[in-house]
Amino acid sequence: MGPFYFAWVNQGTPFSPTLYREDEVVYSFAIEQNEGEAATLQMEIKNPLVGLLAPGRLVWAWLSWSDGTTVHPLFFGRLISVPDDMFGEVVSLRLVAMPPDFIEQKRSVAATLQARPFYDPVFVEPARRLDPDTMLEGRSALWHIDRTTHAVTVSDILVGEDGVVDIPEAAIPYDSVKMSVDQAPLKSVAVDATVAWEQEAHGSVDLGTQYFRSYSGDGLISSWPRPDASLGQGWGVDYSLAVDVYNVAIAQTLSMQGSWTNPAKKHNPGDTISINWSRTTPVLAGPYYHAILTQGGTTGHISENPDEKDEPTSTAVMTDVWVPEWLVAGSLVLRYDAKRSRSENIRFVLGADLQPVFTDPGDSAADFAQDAELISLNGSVGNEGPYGVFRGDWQAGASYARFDYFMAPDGRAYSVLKDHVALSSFSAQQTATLWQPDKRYNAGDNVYSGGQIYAVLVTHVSGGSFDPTSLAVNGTLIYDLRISQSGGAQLYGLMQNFRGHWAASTIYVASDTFLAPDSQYYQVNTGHVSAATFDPFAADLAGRMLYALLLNPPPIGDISRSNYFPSDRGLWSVEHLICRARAHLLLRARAVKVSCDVPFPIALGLSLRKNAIVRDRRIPGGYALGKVVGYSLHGSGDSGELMGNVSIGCAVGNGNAVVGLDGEPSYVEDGYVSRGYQLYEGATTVLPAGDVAYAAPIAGTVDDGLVFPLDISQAVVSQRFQTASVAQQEAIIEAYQGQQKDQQKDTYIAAGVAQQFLAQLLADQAQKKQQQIEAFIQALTKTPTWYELVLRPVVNGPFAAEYDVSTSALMIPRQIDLANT
Amino acid sequence: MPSLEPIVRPFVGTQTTPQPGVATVAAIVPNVVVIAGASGSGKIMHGSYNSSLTVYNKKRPKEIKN
Repeated sequence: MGPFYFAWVNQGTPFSPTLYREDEVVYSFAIEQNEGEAATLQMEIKNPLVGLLAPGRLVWAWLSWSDGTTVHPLFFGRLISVPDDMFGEVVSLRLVAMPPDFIEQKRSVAATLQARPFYDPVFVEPARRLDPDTMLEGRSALWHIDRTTHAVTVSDILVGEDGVVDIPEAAIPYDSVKMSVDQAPLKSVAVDATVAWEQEAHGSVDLGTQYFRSYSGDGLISSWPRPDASLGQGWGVDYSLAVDVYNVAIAQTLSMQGSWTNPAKKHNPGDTISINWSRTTPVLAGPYYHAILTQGGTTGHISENPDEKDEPTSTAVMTDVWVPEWLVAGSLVLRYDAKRSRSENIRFVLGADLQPVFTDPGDSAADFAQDAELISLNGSVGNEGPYGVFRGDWQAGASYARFDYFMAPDGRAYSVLKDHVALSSFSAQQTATLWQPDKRYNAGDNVYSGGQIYAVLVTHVSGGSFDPTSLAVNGTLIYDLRISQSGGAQLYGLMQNFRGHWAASTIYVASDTFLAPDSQYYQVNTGHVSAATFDPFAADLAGRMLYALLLNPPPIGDISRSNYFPSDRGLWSVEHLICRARAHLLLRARAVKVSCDVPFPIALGLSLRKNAIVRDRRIPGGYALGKVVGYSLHGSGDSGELMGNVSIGCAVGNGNAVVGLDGEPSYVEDGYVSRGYQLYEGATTVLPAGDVAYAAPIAGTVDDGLVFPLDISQAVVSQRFQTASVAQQEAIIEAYQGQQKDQQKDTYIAAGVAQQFLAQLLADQAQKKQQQIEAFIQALTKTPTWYELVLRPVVNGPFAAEYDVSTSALMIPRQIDLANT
Repeated sequence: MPSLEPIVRPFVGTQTTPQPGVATVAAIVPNVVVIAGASGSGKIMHGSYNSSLTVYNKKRPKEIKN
C-alpha cells in the first residue's frame, strides 16, 4: 500500500486513518490551484469499469500521501464529470475542491469584511450591498478555498497570512526557474466620485410677539399670516395670532343723558326750569385722536311783554369724531420644510511608488492610457427607506411628533402629519388631538376632551383645564362641539410601502420595505412568501436575492447637514475610495512573475495564503519574494517522479512606508473636543494598511450658508414695521378742517331763511361733515402701516461642491529589486 | 533579505476646502417676503352732544286796548 491513498467518501467526511486505502489504482495525479480559484485534481486511474456517476456511488474523494512516517492529506474534492475516454484501460478523472456551502461560507466571511475603510455601502447599489464580492472591492485580497479543509477565507495579494516558504537555491532545479514581466504595473489611479443627497430639515422659528401701534391696525389684523398658511419656498405658518389689545374693532359707543328740573314751587321769570342733555361717545381703552366736527346752537329769549313771542329754550349741539389708535400684538411661529439637492464631488490621483520596469518613451497620451486607470463612482448618502422615527405599534395616549411613523391596529403603516396626542382608539381619518393644557391651538384644529370632539374656533394657548365655554378676548366662543372628526386636518398619512417589522410566512411584494430583526431596513426585490426566520441573503429558486439593504439611518447621519466628505463618515468614504484605488494599484504592482519547480516535500507546504522566496543567483538581488499565485503538485507512477511547481507574483515597489502628521488644532484647544470634531491644519491620516496617507478635506461654505436648525438670525433677512403711528397722527391732524357749523333746521327757519334755500344749506352742512370723515380716511390710507418680513428661501439649490484631495504615493513592498546589481 | 526595513517618509498633504460647483452658482432663489397690514383704513367713531335749557317767564297781563 501507498505511498498514495485514494478513498471515495461521503460529502463532509473528515480525513482519518480509515481513508488510508486505494479505492482506485492511481497511475498519475496533478493538483493545481491558482489564485482566486478552487484547487483541481486531475488523475489517471485504472478503468474501474463502472459508471462513476451512477446513483448511490460516492463522488467525493480524499487523496493522501505517506512520506513513510506521516500521511499527508493532499486533496479533498468532488468528481466533476464522467471520464472522456471511458473505453480505455486508463481513465482520466477530474475533481474540484469546492465546498458545497461555498456561498454560505463566503457570506459569513463577508460579514467580517464590512469594516472601515475597506467597505463602504455608499458606493454600492442597494441590490449588491449584500454580495460578498463587493466586500472585496476595496481590499487587495482574493477569495481562497483550502484544498483539504475547504475553509473559505480571503487572502491578501501581496502578503500571505500563513507565512513564508523559503525555497533554497539548491532545492530548485536550475532550468526550471523562469522570470517574466507579467504585466505593466499601474502608475496611478484617478478617482472621481460623487455623492448626492437631498438635504432636508424641518423645524420652527419663533418670532415671538411684536407690538404694533397704528391708527389702521385693522389691516394688520386682517392680513396677519394665517395658521397653516404657506408662505412659499419652504416656509409656512405654524402658529399665528394677531390680538387687538385695546379691542378697537369691537369698541362700543356709550349714550348718556341727564335732566334737571327746578324743584321750586314758585318761579320768577328767568329762573331755569329744566336742563336736558345727552351725550354719545365711544368707549376706548387706548389712545385716540379726537376732534369736533360740528358745533351749533339756538338762543332762547323771554320777555314780559305779552305781545312778544317767547323762546324759553336754548340749545347747544355738537358732533365729534374719534380715531382710535390700535395696539396689535402679533405672534408668529414659522415652520420650515427645507429641501435642497446637494452633491459633492471628490477627486484625487493615487500614484504608486514603483521601481522602473520599462523605459518610458515620453509623456505621450498612449503611455498614460496604459499606465493609468480612472475609477468613476456615484454614491448615495441620503435617506433610504422611511424618514422619521419609527414608533412601533400605535399607542393610545402617546405623544406623536410630525414625521413619526407607526404600525396601526389596521395592520398598515402611517406617518404622522401633525404633532398630537393620540386618542383612545385609532382611526386613519383622525383629526382630533387629545386636549392638553398650555398648548398652542390654531383655529381649525380639532381637540378631544371629556368624550367629545371640539373644533377650535380661535387660535389660542390653552389654559389649565378644559372648559368648552371658554371665551376669547372679543367675547366669542373658543371651542365648538363637533359631532364628527370631519373638517379638521388629518393627523395620519398612509405609507404605501412600509410594512413594519419583518414577519415570517408573510406575502411581500417588490418595493415593500421593512425593519428586519437585525435592526436594518430592507427593500423587497422580488415578491415572495417569507420564510420562518429572517435571512438577509435569502434568494428565490432562480438565485435572485430577495432583499436589498437600505441605508437607514442614512450615511450622512443628520440629513440636514450641509456637507458630507469632511464629516467623520465622509472621511470613511474618502478612505474607502483610496482603498479601491489602492487595490487596483497593488494588484498590478505584482509585475514580475517568478516560477520554478520545487521538491515535493517543500511543495506540500505551499498554499495560496503564503508567500514564497525563490533564491537564485540569476535573479537581481539573488532572490525574489512574492505572493504564491499558483502551485501544482504532481506525481507519475511511470517515472516515479514527485514534484511541485510554484509561481509567485512579486511587487516592484521601493519598500517605503508613510507616516501621517498630527497637524495643529485650529478650531479649539486640543483635547477640548474629540478628534473627529477637531480641525487639524496640515493633518494627514494614514490608512490602516500603513502604505498610504491623505489630507482630510475641510468643510467650507459653498451655498447660502444656512446651517440647520435655523434660528431667527439665520432665517430672517429683515423685519420692518413701515411708518410709525406718529406719522399717521400728523396726517390726521393735517386733515382736520376745523369745526363746521351745525345749525338745526328750526334755527334756519327762525332766522328767516327762505324755504327754498333751507334744503341746500342743510345738504351743504352734511356734505362738509362727510368730506371731513373722508379726509381722515384718506389721511390713514395715505400713510399705510405694514409689517414686512423677509425670509431666506429654504427650498433651493442644487448645491454642488468639489474637493481635490491630496494623497501620498501608495508605498509598495520591494519584493524584488530589479535595480540590484 | 526580503524583510527590508522600510524607509519611513512623512506625508505632508494639503487640506482642501470645497470649491463651489457650477450648480451652486445657478442656484439663486429670491427671498420670501411676507407683508401684513397695508390695506387698513382704521376706525372712525362718532359722538354727539345735545343740550337744552328752558327758563321760566311770566307775561304781564295784556293791556286792554281802547
